[in-house]
Amino acid sequence: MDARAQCPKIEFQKASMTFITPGGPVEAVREIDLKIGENEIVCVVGPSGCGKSTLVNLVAGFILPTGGRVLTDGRPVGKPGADRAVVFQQDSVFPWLTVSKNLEYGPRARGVSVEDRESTVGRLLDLVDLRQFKDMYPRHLSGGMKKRVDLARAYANEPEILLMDEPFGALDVLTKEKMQRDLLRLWREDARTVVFITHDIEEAIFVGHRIVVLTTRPARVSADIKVPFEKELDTRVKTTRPFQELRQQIIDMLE
Amino acid sequence: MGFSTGEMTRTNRIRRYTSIVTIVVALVAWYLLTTQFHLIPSLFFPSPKDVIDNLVMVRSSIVEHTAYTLGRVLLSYVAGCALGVGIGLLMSRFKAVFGLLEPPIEALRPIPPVALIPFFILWFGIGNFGKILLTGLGCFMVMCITTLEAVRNVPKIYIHAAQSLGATEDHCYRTVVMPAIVPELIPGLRVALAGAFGLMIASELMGAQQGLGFLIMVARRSLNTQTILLGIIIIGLVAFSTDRLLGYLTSRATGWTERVERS
Repeated sequence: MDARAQCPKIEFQKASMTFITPGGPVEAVREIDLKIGENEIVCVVGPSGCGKSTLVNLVAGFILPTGGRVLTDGRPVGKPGADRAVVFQQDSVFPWLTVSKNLEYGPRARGVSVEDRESTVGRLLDLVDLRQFKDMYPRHLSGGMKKRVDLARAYANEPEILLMDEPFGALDVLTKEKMQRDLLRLWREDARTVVFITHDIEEAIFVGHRIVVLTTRPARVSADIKVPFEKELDTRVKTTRPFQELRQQIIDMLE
Repeated sequence: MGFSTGEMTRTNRIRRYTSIVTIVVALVAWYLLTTQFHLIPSLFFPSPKDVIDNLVMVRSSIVEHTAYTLGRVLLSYVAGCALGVGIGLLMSRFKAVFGLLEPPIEALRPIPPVALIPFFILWFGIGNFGKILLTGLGCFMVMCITTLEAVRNVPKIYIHAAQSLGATEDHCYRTVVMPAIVPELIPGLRVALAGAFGLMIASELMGAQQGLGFLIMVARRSLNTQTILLGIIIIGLVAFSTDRLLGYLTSRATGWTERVERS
């Protein structure tokens, strides 16, 4: 058996993270063990403030673990890089660039040729339905549209891992559902490993293949549930029995 | 981007009319107090007629003096600000540069440049060089600090986004930090411009061979208040116009921000 194929895409090995704050040391994550396979969409849910974002920051390379290891492809995570794209809850679209220039940012930074850049950007503009806004500045866009740019920009860079930290948390319900479908549609076109943090259980079940439930701070894995049904783009699946039962199961776990 | 001329909202119209009314009231009051009611002797505050007569009298030399002042201000402003921003960027980017330059800059900065004028006259005389150097120094200080602060205030989320899109530190600096700080540099640029006029006039007042400050200095000796007031008015108009021009140029450069433009 190929040793590489056995290796999970992302792995936390007894990873811990303690922050030094003005108020004293804060233990965000304690000895977490978690494996995420290639092209899996794993949703991480947990009480607010439990350290979910810390997991994303560790994989992204914005912080280093104070204990244990965080590995991607079997190697410890180093500095942030194009292989791990991040979509945050806050707006991180560059306001001084137009929509297409934003989408183009990653490929351009990596030295991709003009033709390849143009075709990638063009494809994504159509996938997230932003072609008519391609030359507009973010200040003219709504929150939902900016999020689409955010998501498309991350995808345009063809990252191996897509890290999403409550990305749709600031959007209204309808826009949120549209974004959830956009994400699944992008994933179907172009599968990647996704780590998706959210406090919205329904969102987690709709989007994820697997749901990891964390405890309150310091975070540890309290449950790891495989979503027993296929991913669907139709949001009516949220009203079906299995969906609602799973939702209740997770809510009970969190209480 | 901003308000187009066809879209002046009600608040902008109110602002416009209020400014015009205020100016007109001030001019009328000036005329009435000095000419009509003779409440203010023309020595203490010349009347509009005095100033206009004076303008006609000195009209050939006034252009030369204005040109000297304006030319020196622009030269020292552009050089001082460019250097200030450049050094500020280098200091933000490279810790070694910061360590080297921060102590002398912090030591020199609290000293009001005006206080240095006597030394500058001693060292460089009353010609162009000393004045341009002094005014340039003032502009440099303003823009250096402004740039350092602006870089510190770039939202970390943009840096993180750029890093996880594959930007190297250099690329990130050029494509994220530098565009992001532009709106924060604008207040500094306006302050530096006003300061530049102040410093230039001050150094001309203390020793010069041409310029509006020089004109005022000479007029003071013979208590020629008409010329003094004329000089002040011209300085005010020139400073106002250049500030407006700066505002126009900077609004072109910040079309992407959410700034509320002046009407």
